[in-house]
Amino acid sequence: MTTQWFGERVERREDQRLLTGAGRFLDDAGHDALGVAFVRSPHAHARITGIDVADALDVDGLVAVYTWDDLPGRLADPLPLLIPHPDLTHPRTQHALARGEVNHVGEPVAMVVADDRYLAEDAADRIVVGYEPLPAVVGIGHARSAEHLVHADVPGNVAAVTTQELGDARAAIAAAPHVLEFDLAMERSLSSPLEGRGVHARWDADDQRLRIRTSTQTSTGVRAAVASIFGLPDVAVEVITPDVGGGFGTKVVHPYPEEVLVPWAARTLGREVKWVEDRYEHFVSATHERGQEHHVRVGFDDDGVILGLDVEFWHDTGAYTPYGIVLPIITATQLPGPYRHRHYRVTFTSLYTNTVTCTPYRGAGRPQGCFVMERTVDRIGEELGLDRAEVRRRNLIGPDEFPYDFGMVFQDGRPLIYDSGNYPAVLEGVKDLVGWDGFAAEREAAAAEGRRLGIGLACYVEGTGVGPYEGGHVHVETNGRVMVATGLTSQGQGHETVFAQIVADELGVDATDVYVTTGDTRRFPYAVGTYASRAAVMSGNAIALAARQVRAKAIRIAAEALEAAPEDLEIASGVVQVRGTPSRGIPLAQVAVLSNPLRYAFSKEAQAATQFASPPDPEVPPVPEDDEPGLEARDYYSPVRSTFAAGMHAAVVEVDPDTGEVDVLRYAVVHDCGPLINPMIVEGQIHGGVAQGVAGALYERLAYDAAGNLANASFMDFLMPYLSEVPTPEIGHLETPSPLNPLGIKGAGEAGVIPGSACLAAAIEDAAGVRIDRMPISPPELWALIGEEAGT
Amino acid sequence: MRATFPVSAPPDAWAALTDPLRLAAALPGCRSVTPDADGDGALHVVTEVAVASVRGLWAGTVAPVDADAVRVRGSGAPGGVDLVVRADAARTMITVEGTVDGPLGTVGSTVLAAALRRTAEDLLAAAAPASSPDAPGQPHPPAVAAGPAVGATVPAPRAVGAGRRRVIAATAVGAAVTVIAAGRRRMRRRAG
Repeated sequence: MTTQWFGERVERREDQRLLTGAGRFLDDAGHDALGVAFVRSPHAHARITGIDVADALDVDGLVAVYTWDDLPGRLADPLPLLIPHPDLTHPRTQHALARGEVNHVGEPVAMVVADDRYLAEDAADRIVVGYEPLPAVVGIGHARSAEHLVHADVPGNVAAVTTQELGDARAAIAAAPHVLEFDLAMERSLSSPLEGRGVHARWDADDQRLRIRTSTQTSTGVRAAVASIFGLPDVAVEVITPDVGGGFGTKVVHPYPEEVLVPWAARTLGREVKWVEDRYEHFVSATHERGQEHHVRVGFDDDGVILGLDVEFWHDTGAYTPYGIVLPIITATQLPGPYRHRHYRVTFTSLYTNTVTCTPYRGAGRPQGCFVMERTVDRIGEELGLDRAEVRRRNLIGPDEFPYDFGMVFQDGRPLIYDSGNYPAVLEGVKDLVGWDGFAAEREAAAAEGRRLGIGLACYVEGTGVGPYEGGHVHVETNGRVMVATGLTSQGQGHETVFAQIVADELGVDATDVYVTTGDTRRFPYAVGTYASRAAVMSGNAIALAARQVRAKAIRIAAEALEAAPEDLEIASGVVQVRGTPSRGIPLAQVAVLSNPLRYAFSKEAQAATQFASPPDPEVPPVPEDDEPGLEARDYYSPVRSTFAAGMHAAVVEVDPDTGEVDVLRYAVVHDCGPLINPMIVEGQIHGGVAQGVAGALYERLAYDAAGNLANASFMDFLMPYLSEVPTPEIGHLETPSPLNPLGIKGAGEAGVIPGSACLAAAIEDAAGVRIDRMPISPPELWALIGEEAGT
Repeated sequence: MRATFPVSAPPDAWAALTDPLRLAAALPGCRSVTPDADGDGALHVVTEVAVASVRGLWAGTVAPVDADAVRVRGSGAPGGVDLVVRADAARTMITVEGTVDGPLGTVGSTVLAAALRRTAEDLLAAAAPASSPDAPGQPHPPAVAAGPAVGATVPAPRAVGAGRRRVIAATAVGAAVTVIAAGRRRMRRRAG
């Protein structure tokens, strides 16, 4: 009887370490390293007129101060444009240290290295940078007006304009019996992982190797950039991602200035150097997201069926565009959601502002797209007096319509084709879970008590598991341990557990015998990174394929040893045996010994693999042609395109009209990410995602003033909800397999956050009776809206 | 590297620095100043250098280039230096240009420039006859002001007090300033 691991609620392997304080995070390394502090711009936009470090010389323990003038060779160039795009006509990336001009508060101007971080900060405090302030461009309205420019050579502050169209949306809308036109907006926020960024670097002069630890979502990305910029051989740069206390997207940016400056300083000084981001630095130098304004025109028939949708939106990209236009592309291509569109046109403008650069934050453009689409469907229901769930049902793509081709290009440069799904079943599921059909009575009963309840619903489709590829290496050691490595990184998702589950099933071993390493270029040098809900799909499948190779090899070797036919063998509990005859078996550990012909035995068991142990076939070399020593394999998974997960959220809220306070009474999620490897981990992802969705809807925003100062750059002022504010969602699963990958799985990492603002806006609008067309919304804002409504 | 900075010194300070003995006294951390045996105006300087956390003994020569500039070359634990130090005619601006390598080359150009400027200012201040011998952080001027014979080595008193807390860049800029001053005196003498 073999144990099935896939699909089980296996406890997370990493939790023993992480929950008992035994995790090894970035700051746990390099106790004796030199400390780094950065002098960052206090101005949103200014010319640098001088940098005076004289007073810093009085700090005992100062090692060095670096400015742009000190940066050699390619380190002095702007940082790489990570994702170029033909429509990105005016890309701009920052210099590792500001070159004469700063474009947002927090941009690094000088790097201070000292015996420790305290001294580095003392010295940084004494450095006087002369600035000649320039007009700051803050907010989309200001950027669009182009009254002032962020970059003098970028006309109109426009980085890119892109249009995609399915059918002829404008003609379809013109011919539609009903047309609505309105604006929708979402504000800027940021990832705020509990652990900020950090980099530790050591130059090994003996080996001529640079070893970098960085709290990143892509160790191979950092490695490639550092090797390229420094002109070092790839093998001379090792990048290791230790335990990471959350990333949520912002840590996929690479190289951040600190990721090239710290290694460069380590090599220059011949000393270990470490920088750990503080919370203020995170607010003003780790990337942000979400700020977008949208104009919507929609045409529909008397039944609420959408005939044409025309969306124009403006994306605030911040000061630079290292990540290209991926975010607005995702909004544009994920906005259609689970609905059948015949005529859809979307055009966006990506605008520079003198604020922190924007790159994906969990959800990555989808929360905005979902907000636009779902608010639009709610408006259609309101206009026609139809039930909002019914309007959705009438527009859903049917289960028999897959693959569903939008004729557009997705964020990975591949066609936007939904691979599989069952959206009507998801809708029925979430209606049941939240009590949609019985809500009218519930609302009435509450109203009789003077309470104002409302219900909302939001649907999303999420492209997950984007390419180009990931790889996996599976190695059965002679001690029976199964060592697994994949190149992408972990930020606490549970990769060590789910990848072990996959290998355990493929190889017929116990998951506790499987040891998974992620994000270490020494163990697996080819990888892309952890983003876009892709780790399970990409590395999970790659590891499964590698494990299948190992299985085939193990059976071939065991068949020879057991003198049995390979097709009669199975692997169960780590033993290769004749099916149904466990007495005729050989442990995988011993198969691993036999897989590697030896001259020198290293243990009693290893004697079996030595030259005189068994009569050899004189005509076959010890390692036959096309074979390799060792019970190991490496394989890759590269999908033709993304696989599309889907889900729907529904919420019941109570609004207090006297205070504007919103209380989330119930939150229901039905999610379909294909077969679940570990339902507990998927639910954990949904819990966390819902928390971030609620946070984005009701609490978190970045308060930039007109001069570009971030007024709430601390956890004192930036409202991150506690557990007390976050509802525990009721969760239902559907498991529609993907036809695109061997395991049939889809990603689940970001789903929970995507419909939060759309769902809660709908519920609040329903409860308060006021139009909600921008998120997040605070109690004072809601209170004011209720007051306006009452006054009219 | 290249750095330009203003200096201000009492009128007599430059002149006072023509005396290797006074220079040796005024240059913090200076071990010795030896006029070159050829009498060409070059000085051989051995001094302690401390810029940021780079510290150690440094030996080099300071040789006149023209009336307003000297070339400072030398090496030691802190690193190698090859700099031309030029003063403007009014003696209000100093420009330093050249290369610095080794540990001194890793501290950052702004730190080097600030250290050079501070050394020049400290040196000029210390060399001024008006400066109080008991001023805190100032090296004591030597008791004897008579110039030594060419080729003789002037041992310098160890810098006291100033060294530890304040990071003193006792680079050869000080000596350079001296030689510039000396050069101008010679020029004047010849012109006279």
